[in-house]
Amino acid sequence: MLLRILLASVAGATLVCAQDRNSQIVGQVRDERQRPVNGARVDAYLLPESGAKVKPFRASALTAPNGTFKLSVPSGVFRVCVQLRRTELLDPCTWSAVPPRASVPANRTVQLPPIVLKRGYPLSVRLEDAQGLLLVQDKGKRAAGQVIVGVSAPNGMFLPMPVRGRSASARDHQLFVPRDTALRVSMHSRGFTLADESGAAVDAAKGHQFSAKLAGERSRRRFVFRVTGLQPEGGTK
Amino acid sequence: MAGQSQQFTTTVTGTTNQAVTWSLSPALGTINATGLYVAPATLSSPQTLLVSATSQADPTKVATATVTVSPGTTDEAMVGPVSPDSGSGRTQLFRFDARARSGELVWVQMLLNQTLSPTFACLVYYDPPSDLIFLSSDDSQPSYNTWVGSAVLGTPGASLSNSQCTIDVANSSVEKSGASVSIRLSITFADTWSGTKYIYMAAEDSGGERDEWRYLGYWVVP
Repeated sequence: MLLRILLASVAGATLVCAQDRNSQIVGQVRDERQRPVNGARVDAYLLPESGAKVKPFRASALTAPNGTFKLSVPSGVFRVCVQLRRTELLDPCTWSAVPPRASVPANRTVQLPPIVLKRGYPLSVRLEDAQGLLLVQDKGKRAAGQVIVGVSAPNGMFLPMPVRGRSASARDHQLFVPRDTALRVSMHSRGFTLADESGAAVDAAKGHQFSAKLAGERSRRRFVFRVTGLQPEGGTK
Repeated sequence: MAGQSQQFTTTVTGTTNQAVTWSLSPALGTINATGLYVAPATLSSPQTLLVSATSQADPTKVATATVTVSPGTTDEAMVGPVSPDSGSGRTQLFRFDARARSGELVWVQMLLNQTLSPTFACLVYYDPPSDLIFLSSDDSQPSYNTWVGSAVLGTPGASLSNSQCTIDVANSSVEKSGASVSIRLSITFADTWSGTKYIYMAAEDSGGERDEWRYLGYWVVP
């Protein structure tokens, strides 16, 4: 008796928003050592063409163990973003000067070149806060105060550095950034007065900026500022 | 993906007995007699398992499939929708919705512009802990970002303006529910800023997940 079993899955693993999807974007995600990246989230965002009025669309999928992905999409131009949660690998959509794009005709499959996720390195801004003023703000006891910290991404957009640690006397903002990339870090304070590590006041109410570039082990990765007091209520715009 | 299901089917040839016995190795999740696999509700990292179907007519015949299950990531978008997502007018109350996939939102940004650029745009940063919004200055450029100022949503008499738009902060508000926020911004566009403006949003949560700038609609400034 010749007996054979064929095993198949009925539904695809691709996760997609509802819309006509007659085309596909396929590709592979790798790390800098060209190893496939498993379990990365791939998002394709429809881009509106200049002046056109198109319906928003997004499709998402997780990469397979061999790093491949497949997205069912309508025709159009898409920006393809990739992120692997809780890792140092960087989303090329954020950090590449030319983010992955796919121009997809109707009823066609578009094969993207391999998407390589560069490794990021932590860039930190510490706000030393001996008086615990930020903590009061964090607990909502004093309205209208905040310090936002971020960098300009290559696409020009403001990329905040989220708070990744806090204590009674300090708050740490951190972001994984690429090496050898000149960054502009900006701080904007409302409600607090700030000084740099040497104690010199910085005008963060108007927006304080400084440069950072991670180029090697000796590069400065952490910048420290001090919260020195409160601005008068309504003292900022 | 954690908590999700996948239906497997078999085709047995060479016998009329189509019955198979399903098994998992390792026993990660469950599979029933019809081949419906359900992944574990929670996972700390992606894991691979083998799904096996063993012929009941000839137990030496086995077919296998490799399955990878991943934690946490869901299809739910962190940003959008925006309402209205299309239309025309000089002044409009927009509602921007956002939600965290894990933890809470740590920032939300909303952009109206001809292109995905902060330069000469109506770009608003929302800070969930303080309910402050910041409006971009006209000279926000690829090399740096500046803001014309900030205000707590709903502050009586408050407004923020740049050359493209004015946010009527007093008539703007935010509603929070669990991991979700609805930000209502009353926006008046400058007379000189006519044309089609695309609406984008981006957000990040405390779990480190970020929705990159996502196109959500358009608005025609007459």
